[in-house]
Amino acid sequence: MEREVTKSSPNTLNSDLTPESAARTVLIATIPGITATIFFYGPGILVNILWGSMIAVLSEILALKLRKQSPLSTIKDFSAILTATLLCMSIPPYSPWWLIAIGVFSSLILAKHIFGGARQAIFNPVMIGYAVLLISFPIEMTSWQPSTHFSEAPTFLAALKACFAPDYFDAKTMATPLDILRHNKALTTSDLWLSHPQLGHWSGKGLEWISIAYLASGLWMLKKGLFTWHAPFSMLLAITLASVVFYDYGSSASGGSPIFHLLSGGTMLGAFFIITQPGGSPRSAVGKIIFGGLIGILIYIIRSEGLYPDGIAFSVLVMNFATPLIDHLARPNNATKSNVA
Amino acid sequence: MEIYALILSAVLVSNYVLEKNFYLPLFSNSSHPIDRAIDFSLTTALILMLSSSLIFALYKYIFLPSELKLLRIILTFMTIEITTRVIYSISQQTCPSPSKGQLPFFLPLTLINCTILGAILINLSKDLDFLTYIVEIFFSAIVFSIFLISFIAAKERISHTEIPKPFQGLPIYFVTIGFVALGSSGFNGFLN
Repeated sequence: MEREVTKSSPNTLNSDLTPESAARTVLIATIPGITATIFFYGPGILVNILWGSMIAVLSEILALKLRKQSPLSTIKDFSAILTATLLCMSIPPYSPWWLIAIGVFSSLILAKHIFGGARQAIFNPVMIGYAVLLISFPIEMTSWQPSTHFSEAPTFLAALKACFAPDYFDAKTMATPLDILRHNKALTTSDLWLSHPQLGHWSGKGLEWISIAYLASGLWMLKKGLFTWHAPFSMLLAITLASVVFYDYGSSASGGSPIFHLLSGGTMLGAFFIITQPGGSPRSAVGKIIFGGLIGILIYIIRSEGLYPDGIAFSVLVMNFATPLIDHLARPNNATKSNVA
Repeated sequence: MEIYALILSAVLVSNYVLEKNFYLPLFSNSSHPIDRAIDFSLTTALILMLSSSLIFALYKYIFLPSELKLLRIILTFMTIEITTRVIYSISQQTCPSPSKGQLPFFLPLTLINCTILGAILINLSKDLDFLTYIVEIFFSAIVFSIFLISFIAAKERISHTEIPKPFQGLPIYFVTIGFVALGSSGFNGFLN
Protein backbone atom coordinates (compact mmCIF):
# COMPACT_ATOMS: atom_id res chain seq x y z
CA MET A 1 0.00 0.00 0.00
CA GLU A 2 1.55 3.27 -1.03
CA ARG A 3 1.31 6.04 1.45
CA GLU A 4 1.78 9.67 0.68
CA VAL A 5 1.49 11.70 3.79
CA THR A 6 2.15 15.15 5.10
CA LYS A 7 5.59 15.62 6.44
CA SER A 8 4.49 17.97 9.17
CA SER A 9 4.37 15.99 12.37
CA PRO A 10 1.19 16.28 14.40
CA ASN A 11 3.25 16.50 17.56
CA THR A 12 4.70 19.93 17.16
CA LEU A 13 3.18 22.61 19.34
CA ASN A 14 3.31 26.30 18.65
CA SER A 15 4.33 27.03 22.19
CA ASP A 16 7.53 28.19 23.81
CA LEU A 17 6.65 26.25 26.92
CA THR A 18 8.36 22.94 27.47
CA PRO A 19 6.05 20.07 28.38
CA GLU A 20 7.33 20.08 31.97
CA SER A 21 6.64 23.71 32.64
CA ALA A 22 3.26 23.50 30.86
CA ALA A 23 2.11 20.63 33.04
CA ARG A 24 3.42 22.40 36.14
CA THR A 25 1.57 25.61 35.23
CA VAL A 26 -1.69 23.73 34.69
CA LEU A 27 -1.18 22.01 38.05
CA ILE A 28 -0.76 25.41 39.72
CA ALA A 29 -3.90 26.60 37.93
CA THR A 30 -5.93 23.79 39.49
CA ILE A 31 -5.26 25.16 42.99
CA PRO A 32 -8.12 27.73 43.10
CA GLY A 33 -10.67 25.16 41.96
CA ILE A 34 -9.42 22.56 44.43
CA THR A 35 -9.45 25.15 47.23
CA ALA A 36 -13.04 26.07 46.39
CA THR A 37 -14.01 22.39 46.35
CA ILE A 38 -12.40 21.87 49.76
CA PHE A 39 -14.22 24.95 51.05
CA PHE A 40 -17.62 23.74 49.89
CA TYR A 41 -17.26 19.97 50.11
CA GLY A 42 -14.54 19.28 52.67
CA PRO A 43 -11.21 17.51 52.24
CA GLY A 44 -12.46 14.56 50.18
CA ILE A 45 -10.96 15.80 46.92
CA LEU A 46 -7.54 16.15 48.57
CA VAL A 47 -7.48 12.50 49.61
CA ASN A 48 -8.67 11.52 46.13
CA ILE A 49 -5.94 13.52 44.43
CA LEU A 50 -3.19 12.17 46.69
CA TRP A 51 -4.30 8.58 46.14
CA GLY A 52 -4.85 9.17 42.42
CA SER A 53 -1.38 10.68 42.00
CA MET A 54 0.17 7.69 43.70
CA ILE A 55 -1.61 5.32 41.31
CA ALA A 56 -0.65 7.60 38.44
CA VAL A 57 3.05 7.50 39.24
CA LEU A 58 2.94 3.73 39.70
CA SER A 59 1.10 3.18 36.38
CA GLU A 60 3.50 5.54 34.65
CA ILE A 61 6.52 3.62 35.97
CA LEU A 62 4.92 0.33 34.93
CA ALA A 63 4.09 1.60 31.45
CA LEU A 64 7.51 3.11 30.86
CA LYS A 65 9.25 -0.02 32.13
CA LEU A 66 7.18 -2.06 29.69
CA ARG A 67 8.02 0.37 26.89
CA LYS A 68 11.70 0.15 27.92
CA GLN A 69 12.07 3.88 28.50
CA SER A 70 13.58 5.61 31.48
CA PRO A 71 10.76 6.36 33.93
CA LEU A 72 12.57 9.21 35.70
CA SER A 73 12.38 11.88 33.02
CA THR A 74 8.68 11.36 32.39
CA ILE A 75 7.81 11.24 36.06
CA LYS A 76 9.53 14.58 36.53
CA ASP A 77 7.31 16.41 34.05
CA PHE A 78 4.24 15.98 36.31
CA SER A 79 2.01 15.02 33.37
CA ALA A 80 0.84 11.80 35.02
CA ILE A 81 0.06 13.63 38.24
CA LEU A 82 -1.77 16.29 36.22
CA THR A 83 -3.92 13.61 34.55
CA ALA A 84 -4.79 12.11 37.93
CA THR A 85 -5.55 15.53 39.40
CA LEU A 86 -7.86 16.50 36.55
CA LEU A 87 -9.64 13.16 36.78
CA CYS A 88 -10.14 13.56 40.54
CA MET A 89 -11.51 17.05 39.95
CA SER A 90 -14.09 15.67 37.53
CA ILE A 91 -15.36 12.76 39.65
CA PRO A 92 -17.31 13.33 42.90
CA PRO A 93 -15.19 13.91 46.00
CA TYR A 94 -15.24 11.07 48.58
CA SER A 95 -15.00 8.44 45.86
CA PRO A 96 -13.77 4.99 46.90
CA TRP A 97 -10.17 3.98 46.23
CA TRP A 98 -10.96 1.37 43.56
CA LEU A 99 -12.95 3.87 41.50
CA ILE A 100 -10.01 6.26 41.36
CA ALA A 101 -7.53 3.47 40.70
CA ILE A 102 -9.53 2.11 37.76
CA GLY A 103 -10.02 5.60 36.35
CA VAL A 104 -6.38 6.64 36.60
CA PHE A 105 -5.19 3.31 35.26
CA SER A 106 -7.46 3.51 32.20
CA SER A 107 -6.44 7.12 31.61
CA LEU A 108 -2.74 6.49 31.69
CA ILE A 109 -2.38 3.00 30.27
CA LEU A 110 -5.28 2.72 27.83
CA ALA A 111 -5.53 6.25 26.56
CA LYS A 112 -2.01 7.58 26.94
CA HIS A 113 0.67 4.91 26.70
CA ILE A 114 -1.00 2.60 24.21
CA PHE A 115 -1.17 5.58 21.87
CA GLY A 116 2.46 6.43 22.49
CA GLY A 117 2.40 9.22 25.06
CA ALA A 118 0.39 12.27 26.07
CA ARG A 119 1.17 14.42 23.08
CA GLN A 120 0.40 11.73 20.53
CA ALA A 121 -2.78 10.49 22.14
CA ILE A 122 -5.80 10.64 19.85
CA PHE A 123 -8.19 10.71 22.80
CA ASN A 124 -8.01 12.89 25.85
CA PRO A 125 -6.72 10.56 28.62
CA VAL A 126 -8.69 12.24 31.40
CA MET A 127 -11.95 11.92 29.52
CA ILE A 128 -11.27 8.27 28.67
CA GLY A 129 -10.84 7.57 32.38
CA TYR A 130 -13.99 9.52 33.17
CA ALA A 131 -16.10 7.84 30.47
CA VAL A 132 -14.91 4.35 31.47
CA LEU A 133 -15.93 5.09 35.06
CA LEU A 134 -19.25 6.69 34.14
CA ILE A 135 -20.28 3.76 31.96
CA SER A 136 -19.12 1.12 34.43
CA PHE A 137 -20.12 2.68 37.77
CA PRO A 138 -22.92 5.18 37.12
CA ILE A 139 -24.15 5.21 40.72
CA GLU A 140 -20.78 5.96 42.30
CA MET A 141 -20.06 8.54 39.64
CA THR A 142 -23.21 10.55 40.25
CA SER A 143 -23.37 10.54 44.05
CA TRP A 144 -22.23 13.96 45.18
CA GLN A 145 -22.06 14.78 48.88
CA PRO A 146 -24.19 17.71 50.05
CA SER A 147 -22.15 20.89 50.23
CA THR A 148 -21.25 22.56 53.52
CA HIS A 149 -24.43 24.65 53.30
CA PHE A 150 -26.41 21.60 54.38
CA SER A 151 -24.25 19.43 56.56
CA GLU A 152 -20.95 19.82 58.25
CA ALA A 153 -18.02 18.87 56.04
CA PRO A 154 -16.48 15.49 56.88
CA THR A 155 -13.16 15.61 58.69
CA PHE A 156 -9.92 14.55 57.03
CA LEU A 157 -10.16 11.22 58.85
CA ALA A 158 -13.67 10.70 57.50
CA ALA A 159 -12.40 11.53 54.03
CA LEU A 160 -9.71 8.86 54.39
CA LYS A 161 -12.41 6.45 55.50
CA ALA A 162 -14.56 7.35 52.50
CA CYS A 163 -11.69 6.60 50.20
CA PHE A 164 -10.18 3.46 51.70
CA ALA A 165 -13.04 1.94 53.70
CA PRO A 166 -16.13 3.13 51.84
CA ASP A 167 -18.36 0.62 53.63
CA TYR A 168 -17.83 2.39 56.94
CA PHE A 169 -18.46 5.88 55.62
CA ASP A 170 -22.01 7.16 55.93
CA ALA A 171 -22.37 8.59 52.47
CA LYS A 172 -25.04 11.21 51.92
CA THR A 173 -25.95 12.22 48.43
CA MET A 174 -27.70 15.18 46.96
CA ALA A 175 -28.90 15.73 43.40
CA THR A 176 -26.72 18.03 41.30
CA PRO A 177 -28.30 21.00 39.49
CA LEU A 178 -28.18 19.27 36.12
CA ASP A 179 -30.01 16.24 37.59
CA ILE A 180 -32.67 18.50 39.07
CA LEU A 181 -33.24 20.27 35.79
CA ARG A 182 -33.30 17.03 33.84
CA HIS A 183 -35.94 15.42 36.05
CA ASN A 184 -38.07 18.54 36.18
CA LYS A 185 -41.29 18.05 34.28
CA ALA A 186 -43.83 20.41 35.82
CA LEU A 187 -42.20 23.30 37.65
CA THR A 188 -41.25 26.64 36.16
CA THR A 189 -37.67 27.66 36.74
CA SER A 190 -38.46 30.05 39.59
CA ASP A 191 -40.54 27.38 41.40
CA LEU A 192 -37.74 24.91 40.85
CA TRP A 193 -35.35 27.27 42.59
CA LEU A 194 -37.77 27.70 45.52
CA SER A 195 -38.31 23.97 45.97
CA HIS A 196 -34.67 22.94 45.80
CA PRO A 197 -32.50 24.55 48.46
CA GLN A 198 -29.31 23.31 46.84
CA LEU A 199 -29.75 25.70 43.92
CA GLY A 200 -27.87 28.95 44.42
CA HIS A 201 -27.76 32.22 42.50
CA TRP A 202 -27.15 30.74 39.08
CA SER A 203 -26.65 27.00 39.48
CA GLY A 204 -25.81 24.80 42.49
CA LYS A 205 -24.73 26.46 45.76
CA GLY A 206 -20.99 25.98 45.97
CA LEU A 207 -20.75 24.38 42.54
CA GLU A 208 -21.20 27.75 40.85
CA TRP A 209 -18.28 29.20 42.80
CA ILE A 210 -16.10 26.21 41.95
CA SER A 211 -16.92 26.82 38.28
CA ILE A 212 -16.03 30.50 38.65
CA ALA A 213 -12.70 29.46 40.21
CA TYR A 214 -12.03 27.27 37.16
CA LEU A 215 -12.94 30.16 34.89
CA ALA A 216 -10.52 32.46 36.71
CA SER A 217 -7.61 30.05 36.51
CA GLY A 218 -8.51 29.33 32.88
CA LEU A 219 -8.18 33.00 32.06
CA TRP A 220 -4.87 33.08 33.94
CA MET A 221 -3.58 30.14 31.87
CA LEU A 222 -4.77 31.90 28.71
CA LYS A 223 -2.80 34.98 29.71
CA LYS A 224 0.23 32.77 30.36
CA GLY A 225 -0.04 31.52 26.78
CA LEU A 226 -0.65 27.86 27.52
CA PHE A 227 -3.35 27.68 24.88
CA THR A 228 -5.12 29.97 22.45
CA TRP A 229 -8.60 31.36 23.06
CA HIS A 230 -10.22 29.60 20.08
CA ALA A 231 -11.32 26.22 21.45
CA PRO A 232 -12.55 27.23 24.94
CA PHE A 233 -14.35 30.35 23.84
CA SER A 234 -16.07 28.75 20.88
CA MET A 235 -17.20 25.92 23.19
CA LEU A 236 -18.60 28.38 25.76
CA LEU A 237 -20.21 30.43 23.00
CA ALA A 238 -21.85 27.35 21.50
CA ILE A 239 -23.28 26.31 24.88
CA THR A 240 -24.51 29.86 25.48
CA LEU A 241 -26.19 30.10 22.08
CA ALA A 242 -27.80 26.65 22.37
CA SER A 243 -29.17 27.45 25.82
CA VAL A 244 -30.44 30.87 24.70
CA VAL A 245 -32.41 29.17 21.95
CA PHE A 246 -34.07 26.68 24.32
CA TYR A 247 -34.37 28.91 27.41
CA ASP A 248 -37.91 30.25 26.77
CA TYR A 249 -37.73 32.42 29.91
CA GLY A 250 -38.08 29.67 32.46
CA SER A 251 -41.23 27.69 31.73
CA SER A 252 -41.46 24.06 32.89
CA ALA A 253 -40.03 22.90 29.58
CA SER A 254 -37.12 25.32 29.79
CA GLY A 255 -33.68 24.01 29.02
CA GLY A 256 -32.13 26.20 31.73
CA SER A 257 -30.65 29.66 31.46
CA PRO A 258 -27.34 30.21 29.66
CA ILE A 259 -25.58 31.14 32.87
CA PHE A 260 -26.93 27.97 34.50
CA HIS A 261 -25.35 25.88 31.77
CA LEU A 262 -22.08 27.76 31.89
CA LEU A 263 -21.71 27.35 35.64
CA SER A 264 -23.00 23.83 36.21
CA GLY A 265 -21.59 20.41 35.53
CA GLY A 266 -18.13 20.36 34.08
CA THR A 267 -18.49 23.21 31.59
CA MET A 268 -15.69 25.42 32.89
CA LEU A 269 -13.43 22.52 33.82
CA GLY A 270 -13.93 21.07 30.36
CA ALA A 271 -13.44 24.33 28.51
CA PHE A 272 -10.22 25.40 30.17
CA PHE A 273 -8.57 22.23 31.48
CA ILE A 274 -9.74 19.41 29.22
CA ILE A 275 -10.17 20.52 25.62
CA THR A 276 -7.06 22.69 25.74
CA GLN A 277 -4.79 19.69 26.30
CA PRO A 278 -2.43 19.25 23.34
CA GLY A 279 -3.27 15.61 22.52
CA GLY A 280 -6.41 15.25 20.44
CA SER A 281 -7.24 18.82 19.57
CA PRO A 282 -6.80 20.37 16.12
CA ARG A 283 -3.77 22.47 15.24
CA SER A 284 -5.15 25.31 13.17
CA ALA A 285 -7.19 28.16 14.60
CA VAL A 286 -10.20 27.41 12.38
CA GLY A 287 -10.00 23.77 13.37
CA LYS A 288 -9.98 24.71 17.04
CA ILE A 289 -13.05 26.89 16.61
CA ILE A 290 -14.94 24.06 14.86
CA PHE A 291 -13.73 21.58 17.50
CA GLY A 292 -14.83 23.71 20.45
CA GLY A 293 -18.11 24.73 18.89
CA LEU A 294 -19.16 21.18 18.06
CA ILE A 295 -18.19 20.03 21.57
CA GLY A 296 -20.42 22.76 23.01
CA ILE A 297 -23.38 21.76 20.85
CA LEU A 298 -22.93 18.05 21.63
CA ILE A 299 -22.75 18.82 25.37
CA TYR A 300 -26.02 20.71 25.17
CA ILE A 301 -27.68 17.90 23.20
CA ILE A 302 -26.59 15.26 25.71
CA ARG A 303 -27.67 17.42 28.64
CA SER A 304 -31.11 17.99 27.25
CA GLU A 305 -31.81 14.65 25.53
CA GLY A 306 -29.40 11.98 26.72
CA LEU A 307 -29.49 9.50 29.56
CA TYR A 308 -26.51 10.99 31.36
CA PRO A 309 -26.74 14.29 33.22
CA ASP A 310 -23.58 15.72 31.70
CA GLY A 311 -21.91 15.06 28.40
CA ILE A 312 -18.46 16.63 28.51
CA ALA A 313 -16.58 13.34 28.34
CA PHE A 314 -18.68 11.87 25.54
CA SER A 315 -18.59 15.02 23.43
CA VAL A 316 -14.86 15.41 23.87
CA LEU A 317 -14.20 11.78 22.90
CA VAL A 318 -16.37 11.97 19.78
CA MET A 319 -14.71 15.19 18.73
CA ASN A 320 -11.24 13.84 19.51
CA PHE A 321 -12.00 11.15 17.00
CA ALA A 322 -13.02 13.75 14.44
CA THR A 323 -9.91 15.86 15.05
CA PRO A 324 -7.66 14.31 12.37
CA LEU A 325 -10.43 14.90 9.83
CA ILE A 326 -10.88 18.50 10.98
CA ASP A 327 -7.13 18.93 10.68
CA HIS A 328 -7.27 17.57 7.17
CA LEU A 329 -10.14 19.82 6.12
CA ALA A 330 -8.95 22.97 7.91
CA ARG A 331 -5.30 22.68 7.05
CA PRO A 332 -2.95 25.32 8.38
CA ASN A 333 -1.70 27.64 5.65
CA ASN A 334 1.81 26.24 5.55
CA ALA A 335 0.64 22.73 4.62
CA THR A 336 -0.80 23.39 1.20
CA LYS A 337 -2.29 20.94 -1.25
CA SER A 338 0.95 20.40 -3.10
CA ASN A 339 2.51 19.24 0.13
CA VAL A 340 -0.25 16.73 0.67
CA ALA A 341 -1.12 15.26 -2.69
CA MET B 1 -28.93 0.82 18.17
CA GLU B 2 -28.48 1.87 14.60
CA ILE B 3 -25.22 3.62 15.32
CA TYR B 4 -23.83 0.62 17.17
CA ALA B 5 -24.77 -1.65 14.33
CA LEU B 6 -22.98 0.73 12.03
CA ILE B 7 -19.90 1.02 14.20
CA LEU B 8 -19.74 -2.74 14.64
CA SER B 9 -20.13 -3.32 10.95
CA ALA B 10 -17.50 -0.72 10.26
CA VAL B 11 -15.18 -2.69 12.52
CA LEU B 12 -15.80 -5.77 10.47
CA VAL B 13 -15.50 -4.10 7.14
CA SER B 14 -12.56 -1.99 8.19
CA ASN B 15 -10.20 -4.94 7.84
CA TYR B 16 -10.82 -4.92 4.14
CA VAL B 17 -11.44 -1.29 3.53
CA LEU B 18 -8.73 0.16 5.71
CA GLU B 19 -6.02 -2.37 5.19
CA LYS B 20 -6.23 -2.89 1.46
CA ASN B 21 -7.71 0.43 0.41
CA PHE B 22 -10.14 -1.12 -2.04
CA TYR B 23 -12.45 1.38 -3.55
CA LEU B 24 -14.14 2.36 -6.75
CA PRO B 25 -12.61 5.45 -8.30
CA LEU B 26 -16.00 6.90 -9.07
CA PHE B 27 -15.70 10.43 -7.89
CA SER B 28 -12.09 11.44 -8.16
CA ASN B 29 -8.68 9.98 -8.79
CA SER B 30 -6.94 11.46 -5.80
CA SER B 31 -4.30 9.45 -4.04
CA HIS B 32 -4.48 10.86 -0.53
CA PRO B 33 -5.93 8.24 1.83
CA ILE B 34 -8.57 10.59 3.19
CA ASP B 35 -9.75 11.59 -0.26
CA ARG B 36 -9.88 7.93 -1.20
CA ALA B 37 -11.94 7.27 1.91
CA ILE B 38 -14.32 10.00 0.81
CA ASP B 39 -14.58 8.30 -2.59
CA PHE B 40 -15.16 4.95 -1.04
CA SER B 41 -17.86 6.09 1.32
CA LEU B 42 -19.65 8.06 -1.37
CA THR B 43 -19.62 4.97 -3.57
CA THR B 44 -20.90 2.87 -0.72
CA ALA B 45 -23.66 5.38 -0.08
CA LEU B 46 -24.63 5.33 -3.74
CA ILE B 47 -24.71 1.54 -3.90
CA LEU B 48 -26.64 1.47 -0.67
CA MET B 49 -29.30 3.85 -1.91
CA LEU B 50 -29.72 2.13 -5.29
CA SER B 51 -29.74 -1.44 -4.11
CA SER B 52 -31.93 -0.76 -1.12
CA SER B 53 -34.64 0.76 -3.27
CA LEU B 54 -34.46 -2.25 -5.60
CA ILE B 55 -34.54 -4.70 -2.72
CA PHE B 56 -37.46 -2.91 -1.13
CA ALA B 57 -39.54 -3.19 -4.27
CA LEU B 58 -38.63 -6.84 -4.88
CA TYR B 59 -39.19 -7.81 -1.27
CA LYS B 60 -42.48 -6.04 -0.84
CA TYR B 61 -44.15 -6.96 -4.12
CA ILE B 62 -42.66 -10.33 -5.05
CA PHE B 63 -41.10 -12.04 -2.05
CA LEU B 64 -43.59 -11.20 0.69
CA PRO B 65 -46.76 -12.07 -1.28
CA SER B 66 -45.29 -15.40 -2.38
CA GLU B 67 -44.11 -16.18 1.17
CA LEU B 68 -40.43 -16.31 0.33
CA LYS B 69 -39.40 -14.23 3.33
CA LEU B 70 -36.66 -16.73 4.17
CA LEU B 71 -34.82 -15.89 0.98
CA ARG B 72 -34.36 -12.23 1.87
CA ILE B 73 -30.66 -12.56 2.68
CA ILE B 74 -29.96 -14.22 -0.66
CA LEU B 75 -32.09 -11.58 -2.36
CA THR B 76 -30.10 -8.86 -0.64
CA PHE B 77 -26.76 -10.40 -1.59
CA MET B 78 -27.79 -10.86 -5.20
CA THR B 79 -29.18 -7.38 -5.62
CA ILE B 80 -26.15 -5.74 -4.02
CA GLU B 81 -23.85 -7.69 -6.28
CA ILE B 82 -25.81 -6.82 -9.38
CA THR B 83 -25.94 -3.14 -8.46
CA THR B 84 -22.24 -3.10 -7.73
CA ARG B 85 -21.40 -4.74 -11.05
CA VAL B 86 -23.61 -2.32 -12.94
CA ILE B 87 -22.14 0.70 -11.21
CA TYR B 88 -18.65 -0.63 -11.73
CA SER B 89 -19.08 -1.14 -15.45
CA ILE B 90 -20.69 2.27 -15.83
CA SER B 91 -17.81 3.87 -13.99
CA GLN B 92 -15.35 1.98 -16.20
CA GLN B 93 -17.13 3.28 -19.29
CA THR B 94 -17.32 6.89 -18.18
CA CYS B 95 -13.98 7.34 -16.45
CA PRO B 96 -11.68 4.42 -17.18
CA SER B 97 -9.27 3.85 -14.36
CA PRO B 98 -5.82 2.38 -14.89
CA SER B 99 -6.38 -0.39 -12.37
CA LYS B 100 -8.81 -2.74 -14.11
CA GLY B 101 -8.02 -5.58 -11.83
CA GLN B 102 -9.94 -4.18 -8.92
CA LEU B 103 -13.25 -5.85 -9.61
CA PRO B 104 -12.39 -9.29 -8.28
CA PHE B 105 -11.25 -7.73 -5.04
CA PHE B 106 -14.11 -5.35 -4.90
CA LEU B 107 -16.92 -7.87 -5.20
CA PRO B 108 -16.18 -9.91 -2.11
CA LEU B 109 -15.77 -6.63 -0.32
CA THR B 110 -19.30 -5.54 -1.13
CA LEU B 111 -20.61 -8.96 -0.24
CA ILE B 112 -18.92 -8.83 3.11
CA ASN B 113 -19.75 -5.19 3.48
CA CYS B 114 -21.91 -5.46 6.53
CA THR B 115 -22.82 -1.82 6.40
CA ILE B 116 -24.84 -2.26 3.26
CA LEU B 117 -26.18 -5.65 4.21
CA GLY B 118 -26.86 -4.70 7.83
CA ALA B 119 -28.54 -1.42 7.07
CA ILE B 120 -30.80 -3.02 4.49
CA LEU B 121 -31.72 -6.08 6.55
CA ILE B 122 -32.35 -4.14 9.76
CA ASN B 123 -34.57 -1.69 7.99
CA LEU B 124 -36.39 -4.34 5.95
CA SER B 125 -37.37 -6.18 9.11
CA LYS B 126 -38.85 -3.01 10.61
CA ASP B 127 -41.73 -3.05 8.12
CA LEU B 128 -41.53 0.63 7.25
CA ASP B 129 -43.10 2.51 4.39
CA PHE B 130 -40.82 3.37 1.53
CA LEU B 131 -40.12 6.99 2.47
CA THR B 132 -39.11 6.23 6.08
CA TYR B 133 -37.11 3.27 4.87
CA ILE B 134 -35.13 5.21 2.31
CA VAL B 135 -34.56 8.12 4.72
CA GLU B 136 -33.23 5.71 7.34
CA ILE B 137 -30.98 4.09 4.77
CA PHE B 138 -29.80 7.50 3.64
CA PHE B 139 -28.84 8.56 7.14
CA SER B 140 -27.17 5.22 7.80
CA ALA B 141 -25.10 5.89 4.71
CA ILE B 142 -24.24 9.39 5.92
CA VAL B 143 -23.25 8.16 9.39
CA PHE B 144 -21.21 5.36 7.90
CA SER B 145 -19.44 7.81 5.59
CA ILE B 146 -18.62 10.24 8.38
CA PHE B 147 -17.38 7.40 10.55
CA LEU B 148 -15.28 5.85 7.82
CA ILE B 149 -13.71 9.13 6.74
CA SER B 150 -12.92 10.13 10.34
CA PHE B 151 -11.48 6.71 10.92
CA ILE B 152 -9.18 6.91 7.93
CA ALA B 153 -8.04 10.33 9.11
CA ALA B 154 -7.42 8.98 12.61
CA LYS B 155 -5.54 6.03 11.14
CA GLU B 156 -3.38 8.45 9.21
CA ARG B 157 -2.61 10.31 12.44
CA ILE B 158 -1.88 7.08 14.30
CA SER B 159 0.63 6.03 11.66
CA HIS B 160 2.81 8.98 12.69
CA THR B 161 2.97 8.07 16.36
CA GLU B 162 5.18 5.70 18.29
CA ILE B 163 2.68 3.03 19.19
CA PRO B 164 4.19 0.29 21.40
CA LYS B 165 5.02 -2.75 19.33
CA PRO B 166 2.29 -5.14 20.56
CA PHE B 167 -0.36 -2.58 19.68
CA GLN B 168 0.79 -1.62 16.20
CA GLY B 169 -1.59 -2.24 13.33
CA LEU B 170 -4.98 -3.76 13.95
CA PRO B 171 -4.96 -3.71 17.79
CA ILE B 172 -4.67 0.06 17.96
CA TYR B 173 -7.50 0.44 15.44
CA PHE B 174 -9.71 -1.75 17.59
CA VAL B 175 -8.80 0.28 20.67
CA THR B 176 -9.65 3.44 18.75
CA ILE B 177 -13.01 2.12 17.62
CA GLY B 178 -13.69 0.96 21.17
CA PHE B 179 -13.09 4.47 22.44
CA VAL B 180 -15.37 5.92 19.80
CA ALA B 181 -18.07 3.50 20.90
CA LEU B 182 -17.40 4.65 24.47
CA GLY B 183 -17.85 8.25 23.41
CA SER B 184 -20.97 7.63 21.37
CA SER B 185 -22.61 5.70 24.21
CA GLY B 186 -23.35 9.12 25.67
CA PHE B 187 -26.00 9.47 22.99
CA ASN B 188 -27.75 6.37 24.29
CA GLY B 189 -31.04 7.70 25.57
CA PHE B 190 -32.00 9.34 22.32
CA LEU B 191 -33.90 6.43 20.86
CA ASN B 192 -36.29 5.98 23.78
